[in-house]
Amino acid sequence: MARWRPYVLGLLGLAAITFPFLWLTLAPDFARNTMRVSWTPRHGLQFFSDLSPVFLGALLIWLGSWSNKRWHWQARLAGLVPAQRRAESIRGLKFALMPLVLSGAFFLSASSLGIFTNVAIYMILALGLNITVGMTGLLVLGYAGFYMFGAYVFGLGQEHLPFFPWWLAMPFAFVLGGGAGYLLGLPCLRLRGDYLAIVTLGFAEAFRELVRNLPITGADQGILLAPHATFRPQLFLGKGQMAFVITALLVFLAVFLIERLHRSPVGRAWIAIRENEIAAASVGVPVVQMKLLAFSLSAAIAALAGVIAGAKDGFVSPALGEFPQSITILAMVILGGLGNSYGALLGAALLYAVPQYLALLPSTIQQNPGLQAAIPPFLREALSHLSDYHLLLFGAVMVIMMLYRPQGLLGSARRKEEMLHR
Amino acid sequence: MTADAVPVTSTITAILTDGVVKGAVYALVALGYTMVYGVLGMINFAHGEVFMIGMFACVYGIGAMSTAWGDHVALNLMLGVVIAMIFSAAYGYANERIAYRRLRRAHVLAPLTSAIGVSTFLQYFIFLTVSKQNVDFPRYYSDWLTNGHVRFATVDVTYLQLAIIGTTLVLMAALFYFINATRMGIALRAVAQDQLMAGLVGIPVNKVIAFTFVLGSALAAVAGVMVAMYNDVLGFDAGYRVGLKAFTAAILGGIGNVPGAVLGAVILGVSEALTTYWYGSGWSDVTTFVVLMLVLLLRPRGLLGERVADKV
Amino acid sequence: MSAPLLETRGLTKTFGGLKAVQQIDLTVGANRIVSVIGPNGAGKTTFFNCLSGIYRPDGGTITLAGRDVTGRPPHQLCRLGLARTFQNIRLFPEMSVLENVMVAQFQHRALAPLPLLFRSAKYCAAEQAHRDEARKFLEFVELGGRANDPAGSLAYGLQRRLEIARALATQPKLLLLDEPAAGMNPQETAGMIGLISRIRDRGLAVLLIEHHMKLVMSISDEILVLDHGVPIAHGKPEAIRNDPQVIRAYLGEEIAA
Repeated sequence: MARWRPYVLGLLGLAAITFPFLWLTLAPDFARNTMRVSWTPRHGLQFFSDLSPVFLGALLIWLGSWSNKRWHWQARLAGLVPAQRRAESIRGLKFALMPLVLSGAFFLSASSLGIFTNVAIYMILALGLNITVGMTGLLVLGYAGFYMFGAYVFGLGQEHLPFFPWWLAMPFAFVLGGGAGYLLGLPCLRLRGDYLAIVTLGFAEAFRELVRNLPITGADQGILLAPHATFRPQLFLGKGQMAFVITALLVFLAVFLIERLHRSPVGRAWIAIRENEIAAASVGVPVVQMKLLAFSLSAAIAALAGVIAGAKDGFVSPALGEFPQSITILAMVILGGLGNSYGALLGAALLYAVPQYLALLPSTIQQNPGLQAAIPPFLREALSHLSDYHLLLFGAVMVIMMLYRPQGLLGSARRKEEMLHR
Repeated sequence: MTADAVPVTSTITAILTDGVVKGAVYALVALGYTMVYGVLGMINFAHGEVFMIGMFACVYGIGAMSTAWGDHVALNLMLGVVIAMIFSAAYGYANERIAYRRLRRAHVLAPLTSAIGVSTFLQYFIFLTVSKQNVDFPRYYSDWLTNGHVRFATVDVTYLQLAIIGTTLVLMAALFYFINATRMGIALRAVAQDQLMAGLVGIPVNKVIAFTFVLGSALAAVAGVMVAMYNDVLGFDAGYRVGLKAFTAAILGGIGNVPGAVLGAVILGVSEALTTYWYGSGWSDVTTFVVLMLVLLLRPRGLLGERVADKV
Repeated sequence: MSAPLLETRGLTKTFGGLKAVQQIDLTVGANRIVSVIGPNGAGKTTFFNCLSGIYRPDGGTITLAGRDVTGRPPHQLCRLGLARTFQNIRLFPEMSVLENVMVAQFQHRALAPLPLLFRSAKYCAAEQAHRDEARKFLEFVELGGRANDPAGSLAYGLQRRLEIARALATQPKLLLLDEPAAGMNPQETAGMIGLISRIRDRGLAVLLIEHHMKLVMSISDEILVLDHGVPIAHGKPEAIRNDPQVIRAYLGEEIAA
């Protein structure tokens, strides 16, 4: 009994402090300019019933981890295939992956293709952010600022230059984005690491405001790109297929190059800085330069992704640089596993594709009578609302991950020790 | 009240007053950031959301009271502020207890990420459960404060502006006294210096840290109510905007330094008001950022920050 | 012989009002072992932090191989041939033992981007050569068998050895060891004495902070004694052993009187 007391008290406390927001509704009295509240239990019940699939999912995960602790099924399953064979088959899979993914351009539906193109863009962004946050251990909170920066390099360039297609814009954006990162990092990387977080956040916000207020950047509407500058149907590929193939190829290229960097003296220096900055400096790693390199490289990668986004959508707008974007990308890196490129890929896929498919779910169920019969009505209702909740869930997932699995989905147990006990 | 007839307000002084008022609000929020940073060395990213919760709690409180016993302006408003403080403090405490305490000895990124998670969660919690749009502050309660004014030489200052500056000064003085002269304040400073040692000499470290959160959150709630009245609106993203400004103010003054936070906040408020006046409101965020970069370049530890050597 | 390897003149560091290190004059010649001893809080580690560039001294000069290096950042000092270990071990715990050593080769690596990214033959050969060299350093400190373990999993004494291997991999002329035998049992300490003399045999000079008197007396060429940040004695081990001022600093006024 005593063991449960703090939990019961905690739950009661939480119920008390969320009470007005959940169970009462504000009803402005416009005639007298005052405020009334009304008791609306339906409102609160709706909130919990919308979240019921999440509670169900959490229960399943908890059951899974509990049964694994009890019966060790994970280790037993892994034991079925010898480690050597597993490593070999994973290596084989890697080579089979590229044709498989690229052929997706032909068998995926248009809407799925669109989603996967965006997944690939987020993968590039997550890979880039992982260099600073995961490998070098520097927090960047305004990463989407560089994404938007790249998009506007493309947008402004093609507005003012006679010929500036996406493939020409990419190297430009890469270099300029890297330069912007260098200039921003220069003053604050000499200081404490967490200043970078704030300065990049400030930069992203200020840059977005600047774009929204300057006449040449087209304010909130952004810039419409000339069709010749964006992705166009080529050979036997349609526009959407083209976008998908190019973005997917860039993901492969990015993984390839970043992993090579990761396993080179440069990558080792980055990790050394993350693990112990003073020791890294005292064995001859030029800490400030290497941090600057990491940060400008990741800014450059974001700018490159910005060009892709512009070329895919046909326009660029300040919406690219919004703070929730930065947070989403950060959440992808953290969820996947800090410092692990494959984790960043996984995180990007999960955090972008899942909410998107959740949003598509109601119409899919609507069109498919079989599904309609299989899913109970309350769940159907809840699933149709769930996509509104994805940012709320992001927040919760970030907290829960930090508390119980700080190393991310693909992180090692060692990393957990390190994250929890400095 | 003949003053209403022809306002003789000189514009620039009015702008400066507006800047100081904004600065006072930022200062109250900035104190929460700087105190937590001073004690735990972590950026409490969710502090802005605690401020936002204060705004909404106050409006809910006023709504509930006016529904229950009618519109008694002074009573409801006073109780509204108290309710806001209680709710904010409770949220601040819950954040610390749930999302940060376990991560106290963890790598810097862990509590920071957790805080960002809390911040996102609270924003969208209010977004989903209360309102997706901005809510108007009940003007019935704020009109008498915003319409009445006092004239000082060339400038008309509304009661609300006076109240904001006055409240901030009083709270500041109280906080100063608290930190420097009370037992709890001394315990707080001890925990900031060395948690382990403070624990060994019998200071209840967990309670002191929780108290820091409660105190900072209650101050933020007061700021929240005042901002809601000053701007007439409140929304789920208000905390993020003000929080960002207040955090910048804390860095400007030297994070972890209480007077520094106040100084930074006033500088920020005034420079923002001036930019808005000269170039339009869209530019105020740009100014904030430029000021931040300049200070970091010229005085990396902030205006009043001290140099702290790393332990080797 | 030309200029001495390391020379400090009037080195001073203050924290607020506290004078942590005052007026230290020290010369370390090539291939010498010099120890810095003194009671706790005497400013030994502060002295090391000034030498290795972690603190910027408030006064005085540091000369390394005839070049004034006062106030240079750590990585530049490392490049000029000064390496150190830390009193509270600072490894890269998540990297493998071998990678810990390879980080220290950073300054000797060519980092042209294209060969690095596309793994040119020359780059691969260099990577292999450095890997082999790093293994040699591990064998030198008798850690050869643990190359692929995470550094954080090593026992305490082995972590100290790994720190030394890592410092050696920067190919220094002067090695600063901050309490290498702290917390070691007699057997491990004997091993450490052997290791330090083998380091000297490689042609390095060693500057050593240590509390373990047996170790200090058995291998030092010279000893500098600090007390409250001030040098109170400097000389050969035998002279230091009988110096009344040193005895007073260690044992207190009454006993010495």
